[in-house]
Amino acid sequence: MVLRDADDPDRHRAGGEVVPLAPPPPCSVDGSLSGAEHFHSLADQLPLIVWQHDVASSQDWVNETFCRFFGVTRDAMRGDRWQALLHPDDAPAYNEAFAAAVAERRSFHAEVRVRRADGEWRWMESWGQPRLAADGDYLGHVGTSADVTDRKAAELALRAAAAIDAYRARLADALRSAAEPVEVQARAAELLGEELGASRVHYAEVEESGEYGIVSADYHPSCSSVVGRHRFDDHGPAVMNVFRAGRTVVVDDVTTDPRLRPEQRAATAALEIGAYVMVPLFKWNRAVAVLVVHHTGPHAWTGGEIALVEETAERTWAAVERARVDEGLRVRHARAELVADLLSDLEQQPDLVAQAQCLAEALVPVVADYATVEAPGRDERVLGIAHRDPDLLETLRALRVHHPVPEDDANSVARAAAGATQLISEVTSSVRARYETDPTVAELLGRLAPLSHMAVPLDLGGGVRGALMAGITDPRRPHYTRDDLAFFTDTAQRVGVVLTAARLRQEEHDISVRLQQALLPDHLLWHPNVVVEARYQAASALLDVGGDWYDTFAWPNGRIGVMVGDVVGHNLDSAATMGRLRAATAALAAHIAPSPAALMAALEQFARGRDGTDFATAVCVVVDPATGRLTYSSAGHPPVVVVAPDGTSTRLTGAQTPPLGAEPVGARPEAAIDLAPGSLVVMYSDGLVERRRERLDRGLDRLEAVASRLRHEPIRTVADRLVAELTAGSPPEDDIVVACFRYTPVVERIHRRITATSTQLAGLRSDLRGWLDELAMANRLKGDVLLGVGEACTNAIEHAYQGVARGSIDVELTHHRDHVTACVTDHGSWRPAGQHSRFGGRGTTIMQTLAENYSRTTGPDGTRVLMTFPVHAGVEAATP
Amino acid sequence: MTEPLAQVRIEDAGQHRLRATVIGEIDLSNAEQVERQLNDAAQEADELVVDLTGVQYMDSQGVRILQSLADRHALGGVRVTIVAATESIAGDILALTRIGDTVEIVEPPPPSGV
Repeated sequence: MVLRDADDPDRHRAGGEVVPLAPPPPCSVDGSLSGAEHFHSLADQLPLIVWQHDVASSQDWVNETFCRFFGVTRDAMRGDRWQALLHPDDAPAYNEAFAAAVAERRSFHAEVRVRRADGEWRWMESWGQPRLAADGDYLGHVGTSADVTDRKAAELALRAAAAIDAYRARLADALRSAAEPVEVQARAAELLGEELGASRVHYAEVEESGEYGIVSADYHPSCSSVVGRHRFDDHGPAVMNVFRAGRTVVVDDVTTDPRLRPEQRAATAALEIGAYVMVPLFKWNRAVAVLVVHHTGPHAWTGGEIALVEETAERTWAAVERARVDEGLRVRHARAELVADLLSDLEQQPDLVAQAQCLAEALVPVVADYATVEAPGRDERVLGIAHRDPDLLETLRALRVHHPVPEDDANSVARAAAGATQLISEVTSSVRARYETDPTVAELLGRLAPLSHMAVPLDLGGGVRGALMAGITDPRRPHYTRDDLAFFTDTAQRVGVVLTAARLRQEEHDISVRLQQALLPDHLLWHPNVVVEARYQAASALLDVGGDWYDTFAWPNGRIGVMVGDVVGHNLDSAATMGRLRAATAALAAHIAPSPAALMAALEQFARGRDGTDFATAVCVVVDPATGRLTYSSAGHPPVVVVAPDGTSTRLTGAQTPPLGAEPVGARPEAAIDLAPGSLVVMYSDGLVERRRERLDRGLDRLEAVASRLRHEPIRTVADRLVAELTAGSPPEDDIVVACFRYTPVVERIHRRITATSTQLAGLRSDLRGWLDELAMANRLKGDVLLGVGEACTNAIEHAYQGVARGSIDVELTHHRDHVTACVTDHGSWRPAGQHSRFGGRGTTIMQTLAENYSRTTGPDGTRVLMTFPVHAGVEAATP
Repeated sequence: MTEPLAQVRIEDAGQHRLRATVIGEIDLSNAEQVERQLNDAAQEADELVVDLTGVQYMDSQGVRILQSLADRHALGGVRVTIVAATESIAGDILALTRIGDTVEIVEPPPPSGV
């Protein structure tokens, strides 16, 4: 039996547990008086509380230690008067346990708070055992008790510490997982509120003046939210000055706190606050934030609670600041990306309006809810406009286009363009009222509802000073700050540099395009059987202009040469090389062996650029209009495509050699095919078929498909549609040339010879009308043929035989599948140009306008007018 | 000569207005004759309406007549109005030569009695 001194707290705490005191064993208590006396005498000596109950569970004896501890006499403890010593909260459970032990005659063990002699409540641990007589009769319980208050306190402290540790862990998790500052605040408030059973918890950021606090999120399980802006002094300057000084404010009961005046109590009570704690976050010598915990009724705040609030406040502040830094990094990163993307996108835009629109759209919605790019000096003032809500785009446009702020206003776009940065961080109702000059503007402004607005100067290049405006309409977004203004100012400056550079390149581009166009032929050779059409389209990319060409040239025996080429490299020099090659082709064609291969070989030396670095790809085709025999030679050029009347296509790959000027090539080969009547021949530069990140084959397939579909269209339509359809959806990245022709030998013909007098005209028309009526041709187009022939004959009658005997006029119409050719030949001599009447000039204009192709050639024997007319309108005309 | 290429019918439309209806074809062979008839009519009226609805063929010679008629009588105060459908033989060439820039061209009334 080990007995311990119950009054020695160190002993109890030593092992963290109490060694139970064994009760007197039943064997030592034999029930005899002498035995009992012996026991009592022994027990009185013990420093341990000992008590004994009789069989009726009435206490019949306590030892001296008991009496000393409680300050009672032994007699006073008889019966159940010891009950008065128990703490009322603990007594029921203790008594129940004791009664159960008695009823079942078993050992008893319980803890209870008791009032010590000095009045202090102490934790007491008791152990009891049933006393049994020798015959086994139950005599009542005997037991001991020890003061375990210190151990108990240690246990409670441990439990509290564990609870706090668990809370800290939860808080740490929550704060770590929250990404945004407001989310951090919300999570911290919620956890602390749950931990303390509070009615409301919120974290408020204190404005620099110290006057107001901004609550962005709060925990309020049962009462109203206080999210918003609050004036601290409404709740009592006396207490608020405490927190401004950096100390925690503790109010146990707002109705009685002497620091509060009645109106402040009312203001506090109005928010359902009965008691509160405010912990300031004191940084940089001022309160920057405050964590506030409310109870709806009075609450006696304990030191532990206040410490917990203070700790939570500090951790929350750290987490909010970290989130703010992270968010700042995210925002800066997103903005840096935006600017980088924007600058490269701007370079791709073809003109100022597209650039301005690109800029406005790039800013929305990343850094603005709406944005406009404006040039106050121009007729079209608003160049770019974007709104995050498409429904409000027209509202914004109406406001900016029709109701601009007057120029002399400090926030006018003119002032911004002149260099003034403007920031209206908060568009208050008074600010808005200033601009609501009439009901329409008020209505538009009401719909747009800007919350924050700014404008910065923007150099639009080419001496145009503009402004960039941006605004916030989403209440969840932060208002613009000076930092945002700095970002927009900087971005506008960078954009300005790009726009200025783009404007300069645009000018160079325009010069290149003009030069290129000047260097291309202004008319093409053609024959009624082979009508050639060609197109040039400059690259939209600013610098990729120049060097592509097409040309036709006369070849011996009435044959027609068609050439398409591409000087590699894109600049003014390429265009110059191209011009040189064209000139050389025309000159050489007359003097060399009549073969495309010989021409290609002869051109070699002209392909080298000024610095010797250029080279050119080219393909030369020579076609005999009488037979359809086509001879060709290619120098590194994409294959000519031939589409047969049935739609099948062939790539002419038979005579392929390296580009001109690239490397020494000896004789160049040539190949030939015979075109079936109606065959369409398409020549082009690689810009027509090449797309970025796509194999050339794909482009060729596409070209063949389009050409095949267009094969029955008028040749002009074919040329137009090839360029349009093959560049659809993506602006041409490279220069494009297309030359195409169809081999269309005569199917039907009519020839009439008339005397050159006006009275012959009606009869001629009648004959031609009869012939045309047999063709599948629209009536209007037939009318065009008659009119064209009429004008040509009238010219011949009026001008060809001045002062000489009336000669004759030959009129021939030929039908070539897709077109009708009219050939009007006189055999006279035209009077000098200076004497042409203006009415003859009108006739020529009519012919040039009506005919798809028109030519007039005057030789010593007379003049020939040649015109072609389509037999059906092209696809574009057919589908208005 | 057989039947003339074009017939010009002059009607009094009241209020010093004359209506000249041209039916047939106008070319180099009859332009001067048609022009003379229209000119004569113009000298007797404050307004001359030239109806080309019935023209089967007309080339720059017809345009020349109308233009000179309009030019000559603009000074004398005679108003010349041309009646021609947009999609007709006369209408097409009038549009092509943009004579509508100087002379008023009106659509013919829709066929009545339908």
